[in-house]
Amino acid sequence: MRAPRRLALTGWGLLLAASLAACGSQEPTPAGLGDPLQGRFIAMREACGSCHAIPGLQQADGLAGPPLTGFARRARIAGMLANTPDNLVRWLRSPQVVVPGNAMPDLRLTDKEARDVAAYLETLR
Amino acid sequence: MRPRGLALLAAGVAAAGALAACEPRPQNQAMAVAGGDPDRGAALIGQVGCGACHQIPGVTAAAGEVGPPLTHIAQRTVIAGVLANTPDNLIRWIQTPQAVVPGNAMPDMGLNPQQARDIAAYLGTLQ
Repeated sequence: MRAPRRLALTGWGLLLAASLAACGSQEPTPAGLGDPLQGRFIAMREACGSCHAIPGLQQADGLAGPPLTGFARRARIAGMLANTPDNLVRWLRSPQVVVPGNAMPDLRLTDKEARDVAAYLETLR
Repeated sequence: MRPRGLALLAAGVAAAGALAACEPRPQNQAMAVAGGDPDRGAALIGQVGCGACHQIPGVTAAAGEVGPPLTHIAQRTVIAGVLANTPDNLIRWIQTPQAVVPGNAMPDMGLNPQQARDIAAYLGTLQ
């Protein structure tokens, strides 16, 4: 008697969890990314535009790194990583670990800061 | 010994990249590639299919979104994040990208030196 009722409860629980997960996947911002407005501020603070052309960001017309125009649609990061949110955060936090010796410096961003910048880059379509 | 050599190499490349980044090419200046034919280069870019991965101004249907856009590549200071953008380095990168950055997404296309030089000559016109 008790076991079937517990099973049914578990079933409802799973159903509820699944529907919640489905709701989450409809969010416009990919899971795990931060605040795009804060990310834009950090991109200005860190002067990302001294090396990258970034549409919509003041004085972001650098010519060392690639233009970040349409970055959200780019398939690869740094030619090495698939452009997923987690990989983007990894690259932003430790570019020298991903491609040792490349021209992009480690900016010592925190995980939160990197997630915010990643969220901002994901708005560049 | 090897790790130290690698670290030194990486530091050297980073320093070269940083120096190159500090000396931007004058605005709107083409990069002359001696002995390269830009017209042949543009035709080769179409044949090889560079546009499947890159946006390349002036090349029909070159609207790829895997690698970076090559807009203004003649003015860029660093190639692939690791080489100063000089004619010789650009030719080297186009001909043997896997030797420059092993495992990166750009394939070796089996170009001969003259073909790589012609493509570099065309990219040198993208100011």
